[in-house]
This record gives sequence, structure tokens and C-alpha cells, in this order.
Amino acid sequence: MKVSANIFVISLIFLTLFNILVSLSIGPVHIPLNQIVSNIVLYSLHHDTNWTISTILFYIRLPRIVLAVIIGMILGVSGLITQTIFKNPLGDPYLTGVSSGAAVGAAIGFLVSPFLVPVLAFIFAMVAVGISFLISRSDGEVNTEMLILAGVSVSFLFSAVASYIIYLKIYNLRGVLFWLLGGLYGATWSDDFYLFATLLFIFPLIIYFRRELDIMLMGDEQAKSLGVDTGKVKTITLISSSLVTSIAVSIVGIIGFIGLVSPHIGRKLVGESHRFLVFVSPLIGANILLVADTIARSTPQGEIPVGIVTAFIGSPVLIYLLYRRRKM
Amino acid sequence: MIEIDGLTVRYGKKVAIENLTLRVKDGEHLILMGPNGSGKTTLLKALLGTVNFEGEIKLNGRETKSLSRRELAREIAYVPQIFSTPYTFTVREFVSMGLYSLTREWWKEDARIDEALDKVKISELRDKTINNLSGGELQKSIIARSLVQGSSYILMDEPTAHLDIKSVMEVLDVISNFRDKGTIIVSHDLNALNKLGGSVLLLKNGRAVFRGDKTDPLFKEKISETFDTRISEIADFLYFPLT
Repeated sequence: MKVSANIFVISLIFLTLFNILVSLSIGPVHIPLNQIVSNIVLYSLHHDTNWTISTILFYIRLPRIVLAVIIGMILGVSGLITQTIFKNPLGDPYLTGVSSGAAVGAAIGFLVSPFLVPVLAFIFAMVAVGISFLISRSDGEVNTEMLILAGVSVSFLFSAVASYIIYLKIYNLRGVLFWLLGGLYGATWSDDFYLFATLLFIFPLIIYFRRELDIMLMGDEQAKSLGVDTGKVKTITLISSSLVTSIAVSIVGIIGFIGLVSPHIGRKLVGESHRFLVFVSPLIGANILLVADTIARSTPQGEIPVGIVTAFIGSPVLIYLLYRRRKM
Repeated sequence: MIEIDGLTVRYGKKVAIENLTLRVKDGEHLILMGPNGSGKTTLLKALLGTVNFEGEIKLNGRETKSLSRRELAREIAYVPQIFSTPYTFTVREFVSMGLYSLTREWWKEDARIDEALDKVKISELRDKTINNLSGGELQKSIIARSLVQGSSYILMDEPTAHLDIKSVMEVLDVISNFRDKGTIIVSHDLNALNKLGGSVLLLKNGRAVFRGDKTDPLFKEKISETFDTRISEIADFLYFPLT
């Protein structure tokens, strides 16, 4: 078990690198793999390179590819935390109200000034999450059953507000819809930098709590009797995952399915132990988003929102996994 | 020594345990009996600190409310009723969870895990996954997990429920060999009572109605009173002449 799980982790890292190379070559200008490798080598040695190709590679495609990898990892980790803490296989990182909150913020942003979209999306996502958490506190601890219901209720409310604003006030419907379905267009190295910092915040945290998360799968009562401070673990992991998801959403919009599907695929590969899942789930998320984004930016119709592609990929995968489980 | 004084537990307006006082000595086996809803499981929950209560519970002189979860886990282990599980942890990984309160580097404690598996006689299940265990095997794995916890007390909720006869005999055999651990066992199983020895606490409507040895003449009277059944009826029900 342990050996094969390690092999999966290493294979996924190589798969990610392979997908990065493939994705670098695909686009309106096709760049063959050997040219990519020689460009990277020459560029890193400060030699002269083909200026056009270097610009495409290092300022257009690579920042976007890195963004896809980081966002995929963030969604993969957050989805895993949500599913484990809620013990709900349908958990996704948006469950606590992140997506609908962000939608309200974005809608107001489109109304006021497009530059404010990320900031307002983040603020409103945190407001929605905050309300859900406040409603679901009991005895100084997050009540997860309440939190699901609170998240759903808050989501309905915020979705209604967002729809109201969009329906009555916004004429650039295509722009809003594109944002709502998520897109990695316009990615810059500074986006990558911020999100990488975010990933550096959540990743060590979940690695630290991996043992607690395993034990909490046995249920709260058993976990407590084994010495796990379940209240602390729930509060810290859920608030952190909501926070990083909100940051991710504020930059790339609401990309669905990755947080939901990645942990499921991970469990199929390495089992439930978080010792491996904390690495496998984010790597799967990274690969799915990378492939989906490569497809999204190279359709014959031009760029389409990546959320459409992730749903097209994620939904059959999920149905297949559920079907396999039923047969077991 | 477990010292419980004036313990009262309420669920909303309902009083589940009322003003209970109890002492359990080190190494003592105490069997909790009583009708459904008499407060047995609630008493276990109060000891585990998973339910709010009034009054005082002290473990070896320290009040449980002042202990962290980790500290409490080092004093009291818990064997819940068996549950079905979809998870594919191996028995070794599952048992290792009992080491949580003691160390983060559990994989270095293989010897302890092996010792516990040996004590409950399931060494051969070490690498089997818990979703593939029979009820008896899972129950013994849970007991092994409580053993590696290294606590002075183990609480058990219906350890023989839902098990076949052979598994019941094996589980009772394992429990009756606990020499150095105090145990509080919730059980409806009068056979278990007979096999395990130790004293009995009868609960009814959240109050203690009897505490003592099962050979005490008062026990028969109290048990028929508690369950509202004549002792002859219980005896008739229990006897199953095989020979």
C-alpha cells in the first residue's frame, strides 16, 4: 500500500510536468516540444532566444499554466478538507457560501468598476462564509450539519442578490457569465505569486493535520475519545480552506467540479489515508485544471469559460466513480 | 480512581442523569445495566467529556473539565458499539489511531501495536482492511485500539452486541483478562455479567438504584424492579438447555 501510494504521488508529479510541457506547446502559435525545451534552457542561461517565442512562452502561456496548477491544487486541497470534515462525498470548497458570496461581489464590481471585481468578490465571499459560520456555532464549536444547511441557505440568499443585480443592472451579460464560470485569461506572474503564497499557507496546514483528518473519519465521538480536539481542527481547516478558496475565486472566478472530483479520484488511487491524499488530491486538481484550461483556450470558437470544460470532464468522471462504487 | 459527584446531565428539558455519585477503583470492572434511556450511554459520554454536565468528575484526583482532549485520552479509552465502515485503513493503521494522544510518530510504535493485536488474538489480521472485517474481528480491533492508548480506564458500549456466539465468547475472554485496567461496560447481556465478574451499577431514569456485587440478594430484587419484570421470567428467558 505504502509503496504503491508513493509511486502514485511521484507519477502525478511527472504527469503534471508532462502536461505543463504539452500545454506550453498548444495555442494559436504551435511551439514544438524541442523548441520549448531549448528556449527554456537558453533563457535560463541568459542566452539570446527567439523573442516572439520567449514572450509567448514566458509571459503568456507559462504564467497562465502556473496559475492553473496552483488554483487546481488549492481547489483539490480545499475540496478534500471539505469532504473529510463534513463526511460528505458531495462536499466542495464552495459549500460554505464562497461561490454565491463571490458572485454578489463580482456583480457589484461589474456595476461599479471592473477593477474592483476581485476585491469585492473576495470581501463578499468572506461575508457569506462568515454568516454561515456564525449561524452554525454551537457550544463554541462548529456544528458541521448546521454549517451545510447554513451554507446552502446563505448561498440561496446571495445567489438571489447576485441574480437580481445581474438581471436588472448589468448589460455586459457575457462578461459576467464568463466570470461566473471561471477563466484563467489575463494571468500574470503577480497573480501566480499571490496564489502561490496562499497555497504555501494552506498546504503545510493540511499536512500538519493529516493525522487528525484520518482519525476524524471515524466520527467526532471516537476522534474526541482518541484525543483529537475536533472543534479546533474543524474551525482551523474549514476557515482556512474557505479563505484560500475565496482568494482563488476572486482571481479566476468560480471554477466548479475540481474540488469535488479530485478527492474522489485520489481516494480511488491511494485510499482514504490523508497521509497520501493531501498530496494526491491537489496534484489531480492541478492536472484536471491544466488540461481543462488548455482545452478552454484552444477551442475553434476562441476561448470559452474553463468552468464549462471542467464540468464536461468532471461530471462523467464522477458518474463513473459512483457507478464503480455501486458495483463494489 | 474515578470519582463522580453530583453528576447531572440534561438534554434540553429532559434530565438524562440526575445527581449521580459513583466511585470506580483502579482495575475494577463495573457493569452498567438499565433499561433503554436510563442514562448508561450518557454516563459514558459525560466521562468522555462529549456532553455538557453539572457536577464533578475526577480521574486520579484531576477534574476532567480541566483536562485537554489529549490528557483525557491518556486516562480513558473508549470502545464504541461496532459500526460499519467503508474505509480501507488496515487493522494496523486503525489500531495506531489509539496512539494519537501519546505520539505523532506512530509508525515508530509497531511493537506496541503488535503487542495489543497479540493480546486480543488478531495478529494475523494486521494487514487486512477494516471494511473487510467481520463484526467480531472489528470489535477486537477496536479493543486493541483502546489498549494501545495506554489509559488506566476503558469504557465499553455494548461490546458484545451484534456478535455471533463465538465472537461474544472471544471478546468476553479478552475483556476478562484485563488485569491492570479499570473498565466500565454498558451491557444488556446477562451472560457477559456472569462471565466478567466485578460489580454492577443499575440505572433507572438517570438514577442509580443498585451498586454492588451480583451475588448480593438485593441484586435480584433490584433487577426485576428496574426492568419491571419478574426474576423468574428473566431466568426462564435466559435458560437455553443445550444438553
